[in-house]
Amino acid sequence: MSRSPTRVLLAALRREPPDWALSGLVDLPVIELAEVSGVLPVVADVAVRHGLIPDVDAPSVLGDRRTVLSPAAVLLAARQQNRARHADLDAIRDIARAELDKAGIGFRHLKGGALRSAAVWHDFGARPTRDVDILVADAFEIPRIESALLERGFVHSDDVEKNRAWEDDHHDRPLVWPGRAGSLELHAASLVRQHRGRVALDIPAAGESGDLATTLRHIIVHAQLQDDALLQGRLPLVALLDVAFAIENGLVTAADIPTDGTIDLRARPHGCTSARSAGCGTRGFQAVRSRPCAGPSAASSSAARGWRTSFARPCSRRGPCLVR
Amino acid sequence: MAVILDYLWLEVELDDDPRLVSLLQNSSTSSLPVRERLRITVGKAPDGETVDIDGDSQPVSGTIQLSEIAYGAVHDRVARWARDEGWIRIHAGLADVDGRRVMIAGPSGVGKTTTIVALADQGATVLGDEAVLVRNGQAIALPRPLHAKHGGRGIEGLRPAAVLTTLAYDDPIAILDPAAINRIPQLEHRPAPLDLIVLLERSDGERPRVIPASTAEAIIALAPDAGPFTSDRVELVRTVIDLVESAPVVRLLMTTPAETARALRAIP
Repeated sequence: MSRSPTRVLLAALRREPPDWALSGLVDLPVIELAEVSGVLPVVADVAVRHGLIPDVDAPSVLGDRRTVLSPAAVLLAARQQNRARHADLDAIRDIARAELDKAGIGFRHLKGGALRSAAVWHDFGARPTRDVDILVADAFEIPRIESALLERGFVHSDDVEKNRAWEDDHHDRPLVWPGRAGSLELHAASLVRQHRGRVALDIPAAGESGDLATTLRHIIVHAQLQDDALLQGRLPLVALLDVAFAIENGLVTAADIPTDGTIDLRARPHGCTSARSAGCGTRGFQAVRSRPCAGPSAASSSAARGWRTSFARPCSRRGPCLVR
Repeated sequence: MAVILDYLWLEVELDDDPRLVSLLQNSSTSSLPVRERLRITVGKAPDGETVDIDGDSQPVSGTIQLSEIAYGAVHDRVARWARDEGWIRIHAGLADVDGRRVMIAGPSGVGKTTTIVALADQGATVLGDEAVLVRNGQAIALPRPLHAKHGGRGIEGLRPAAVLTTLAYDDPIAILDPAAINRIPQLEHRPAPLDLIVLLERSDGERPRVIPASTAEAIIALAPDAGPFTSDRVELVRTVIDLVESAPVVRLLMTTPAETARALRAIP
């Protein structure tokens, strides 16, 4: 039995029951490996397609996670948790979108959310997805949106990334909705500051996903930074699946995905994500260690929890601020 | 007396230590320009041995450790030059089979080397079994001696003269001289377009089976192990996509090495 995640993944991609499945789902190491690789829901989806685990969404079937021992139960749990998480993330996304629309602020979904309506995945519910990431056109407006979300019951997450190599300056502290899985990250920029120039993301006129090729480039670059920070030496498989499915479904070609050479870093200032957003044509953004205060609730909450705000604010001079 | 070995952009100079020579002997030349020279020697120390890589000396205990340090130094430098020259590395073997350049990929231990040895027995020219460098649809192999992890099963058709040495891991690794495997005194490595990509898989079937692979399958099979680690991953992913779209990709479900090799050669 090979423990290669490649082999597990190939079986999943083929929509065939892999040999471990035919042998009665007895090989926990492969399942553990799939979990480590972040693709357990993908493998679980294969198991459902081949009747190895039931196609049920009711969390009650799962029972107590601590008692889960069999491979079938692990897969069932992974699938149900992932689908439940998708439902929660959809609800979070809807609320965020409603607040952004109400405020008239342009935005763009990033990563998984940007693929949701792009028909990249045959069944998007099988894609391992953790959070809702939204790139907001105007960083000044994020505190206002956060305040509105806090009033609607969101709270700031205590689950703060500890890895200093991945220390963040491109989105504020994640918001979570008590009782729902996942979190919401409102991004002032698409990437951390020192890599910001590697992806040029527009806020599309329709306010949603933007072009798929650039979305995929962002996914790869983001995955690379995460990978480099964790010293894993390989891209997360979910990011590769995003690209592979998009290519296979004929939605993009390799040549469509912008390389560093095809991105005009001077096209717009760093942090300025929208040609439509106020001021972006006339002033740039530069990353600093403070941001406009959203009001008492957000500011005091952030300070009390020791959240280090690293955000973008407009710079004073005209023209691009190429901060590196 | 020094031994000079050609590792693509790297010229490796060894002292005449027979263990070092048996570990790194590749019986190869390449068409690529030499960019760097690397000197590896083994020395004596009061409490054992040292291995010296371009003047950087470190203690070494046993052949396995010596091999890991020596291969690490050579691979690292070749990978750096490959990256600088715009090549990416795929974990796969490479052979010229009946006039076609074939890349043979698969998880470690699946049987790449045993299949490649069987291909050589059937007249193919084996170029490498570990790393294939690709750029613009062209491929060239890392000219390392072949490493056969055969799990004690032995290697079908292997002549004892081809075994340079054996590394005594729990699952021993036989180090094979490509010249002896290919029955030619010296291989010449030069980039050439890939004609076929084969994804090897174990199978319980009675006969090998060849199944066309989808683009997505090929990407997921090849990209995770592609490198180098330090390169821009967008370029890396794009190169892998270009690669799998430039040549047919098939899954080959293996049986015995000889049958698998015959099935590979029969792929239209």
